Amino acid sequence: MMTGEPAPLLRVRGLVKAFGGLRAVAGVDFDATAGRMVALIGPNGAGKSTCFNLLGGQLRADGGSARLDGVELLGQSPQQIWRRGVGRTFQIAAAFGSLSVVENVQLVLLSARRRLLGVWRPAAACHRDQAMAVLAAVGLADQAGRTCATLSYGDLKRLELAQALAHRPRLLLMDEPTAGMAPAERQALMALVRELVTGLALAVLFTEHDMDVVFGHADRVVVLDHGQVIADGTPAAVRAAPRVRAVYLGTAA
Amino acid sequence: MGFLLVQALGGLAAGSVLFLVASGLSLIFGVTRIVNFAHGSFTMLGAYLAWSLTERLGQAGWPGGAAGFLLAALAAALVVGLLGALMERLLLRRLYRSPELFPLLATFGVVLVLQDATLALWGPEDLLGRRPPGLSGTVVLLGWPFPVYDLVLIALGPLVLGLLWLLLHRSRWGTRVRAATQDREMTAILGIDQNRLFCGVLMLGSALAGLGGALQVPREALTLHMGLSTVVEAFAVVVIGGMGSIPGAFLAALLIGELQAFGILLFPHITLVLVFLVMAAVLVIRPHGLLGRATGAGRSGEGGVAEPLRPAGPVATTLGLALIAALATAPFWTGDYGLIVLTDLAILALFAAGLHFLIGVAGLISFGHAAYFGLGAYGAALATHHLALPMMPALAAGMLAAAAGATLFGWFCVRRSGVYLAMLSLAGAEITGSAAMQWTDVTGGDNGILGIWPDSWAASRAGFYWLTLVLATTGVLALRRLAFAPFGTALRAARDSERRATSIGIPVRRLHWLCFIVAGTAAGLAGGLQTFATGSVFPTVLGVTTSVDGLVMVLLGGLGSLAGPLVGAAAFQGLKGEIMRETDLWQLWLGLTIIALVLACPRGLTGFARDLTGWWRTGGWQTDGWPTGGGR
Repeated sequence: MMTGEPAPLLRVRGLVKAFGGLRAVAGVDFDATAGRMVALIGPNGAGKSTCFNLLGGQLRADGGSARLDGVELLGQSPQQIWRRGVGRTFQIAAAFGSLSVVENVQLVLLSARRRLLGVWRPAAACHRDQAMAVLAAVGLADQAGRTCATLSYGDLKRLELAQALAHRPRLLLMDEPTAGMAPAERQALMALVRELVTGLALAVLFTEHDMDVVFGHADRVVVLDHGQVIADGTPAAVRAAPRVRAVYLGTAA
Repeated sequence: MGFLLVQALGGLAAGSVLFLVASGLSLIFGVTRIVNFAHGSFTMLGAYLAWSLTERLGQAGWPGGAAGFLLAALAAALVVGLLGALMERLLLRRLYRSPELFPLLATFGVVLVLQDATLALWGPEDLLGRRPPGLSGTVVLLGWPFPVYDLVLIALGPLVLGLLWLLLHRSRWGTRVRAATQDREMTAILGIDQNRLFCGVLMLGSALAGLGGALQVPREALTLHMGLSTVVEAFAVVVIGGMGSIPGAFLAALLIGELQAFGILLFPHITLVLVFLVMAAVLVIRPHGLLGRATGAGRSGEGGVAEPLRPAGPVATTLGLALIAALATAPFWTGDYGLIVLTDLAILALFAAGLHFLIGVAGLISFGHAAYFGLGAYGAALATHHLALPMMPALAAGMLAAAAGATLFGWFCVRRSGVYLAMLSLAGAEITGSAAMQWTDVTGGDNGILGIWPDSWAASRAGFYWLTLVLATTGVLALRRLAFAPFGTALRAARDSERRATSIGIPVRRLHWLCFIVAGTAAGLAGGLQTFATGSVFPTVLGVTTSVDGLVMVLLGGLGSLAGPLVGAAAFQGLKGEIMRETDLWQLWLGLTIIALVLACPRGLTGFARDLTGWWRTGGWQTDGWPTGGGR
């Protein structure tokens, strides 16, 4: 590479998904690189969530490829994709409400190590130190013993992040990470994500409706409209692109 | 040829009646998302009411002839419809937001109440109805006689289907019903009075059930058991046709009618099994039924948050150990009767603990836990009777039989959730029950297997009690250990949020299957012990009452605590003893108890105790609605 830019971790090429006659995703290409945050944006119905669900294995693609470090993700089950190192957070945060914060993370570690069928040692005693370390990284260490049902929404988002990070993914898919949060909390959460991306050399792909979050935090922005990529570049370049303006602001007649 | 024609037409007639009942059930489920267990009891009530009316008419020399009969049937249907509306007002209205377990249990309570009420009003004998004049003859088809009445029924099915279609598609009310079937929340937001709509649907659906029952009167004997068998069959029809789809119910009812008409020629004893096999196949191949569509938001996600399981603190541990010590010394402080009661209690507690593991820990509602208790009981008895095994290997054989049954039925059950799972598990128990009843050569049928007593080393009352206590305590403690182990923790996580559990790589379906097997094995041990405790086993052990007893114990004790099923078993046994001493109408009181529990104390005795200690500590009374674990 001429620019010294590292090779992309995730390469999406020609991704297609049709629902009946509607091509929700119609040949989408983009990359995501370790240590970088990519925002996938576009108006409602542009195909963002469909792209996410295809990459996460929740939907089956009709065509194209999505390679993580050269390994094809399409066609694998959500569990297999998760084991390949793709973490995911959801638009509406939810945790295992009746378990404690630290148990929520311990369970991820147990699952990653395929120890869910353990029948003797209490789960609360398994991988506790490691789970506490992950909680400390997202600033939840002091809440470790609380029952999740009593957490504030912001803390729930942090816990979700901790769960997604616990099995050390290489790629993190975040579906509207700041939805439903107060503005100050949004900035704090995204700053935390940035810290983790740099510290862990993680690639992050996120969707977001809040343009302040997108243009304030993404290294690269991919704009979708009607299932196709209409712009892909740095935030500044995308902001200036006429097609993006047309999609978001409408064309002047 | 003529024989086959007559057989086929008979199947169509039976299918028509079944359609009436099933369309009502489907309509009610579509709108309220409640499987009304009492639906079959409404059919039974319609039949008994119509029987009484037609007896009067017959004694009066049939004024009005066939029209008089039809009016009587409609009157019976109307009364049943009003009862359905009453049940909606008094009971279901309070349960729309509760987890699935509670409406199922509450309407089952209604089944018990109606069954005993019918017994009290009409007596225990089977009743035979009269055929109205004009409809009592036969016609000859290809040389074979065929009842005219059945021809009328065959015509009635499509007629009702057409009327329902008109009502649902050409009336304002019908449009509302269809809208509510598709999206309940949205119709509520649009300002449609849900209470009135639901009440109307309950009335119409129940009236259809009543009409189906009334039209059955000239064809078949009326029994007190028809309520439960009808609702199970109607549910199978609704599942095969597609939940909420009326044309689907029609198609499926005719299919089942034919299946039974011809199945009875090929396999006279297992027509019920055929029905369930078709249902299971449909559920696996076309999960939403023949004509059904995936319904939007079901009931899951509503209701409260499950209570956290807490490891026993020093106080609870001390109390537990003291209890075990007290129970271990029981032969020194109580007599023979006391030991019999305590043996029974230990068996019930183990059974309830296994069921609680399934319902409370994993959130899987089983209405068929009797299957595994019964397989354990029969497994142990058969191993002793036919293989002459000693007691301990026979108990192991019982556990093995239960585990095998749970492996088989569990495979089907864990493919679905909520009410589907509940009814599939019930189907499993009914199949096992009919096998035990009809495979006379091996199981002795109705007569059961007698003379299965413990080996000599445990033959004394105290000896067998100690054995039971050791095994039951080991079982309960093992389940407890499991609940806190990664296995149980993963099950609780999947109960709290299945989607989230899948996203962190938890193989939810496989864990649920294993959970079924674990709970089934515990029930199997309890069943085997029961066989040796009573010296015998009968097919009734596989009946739905055994399953419901287990559910009542779990609910009575409370879902949110591992001590719940133990407390519940003790309370249930005490209650049962008290009530049965006072009255013959045990089912009536059990039914009322269930309804009262669901309405007033859904968190059970342990939940109540926690509220009480919370109040003691904080001075504030806080109880937060429905417990979960009752459904997912």
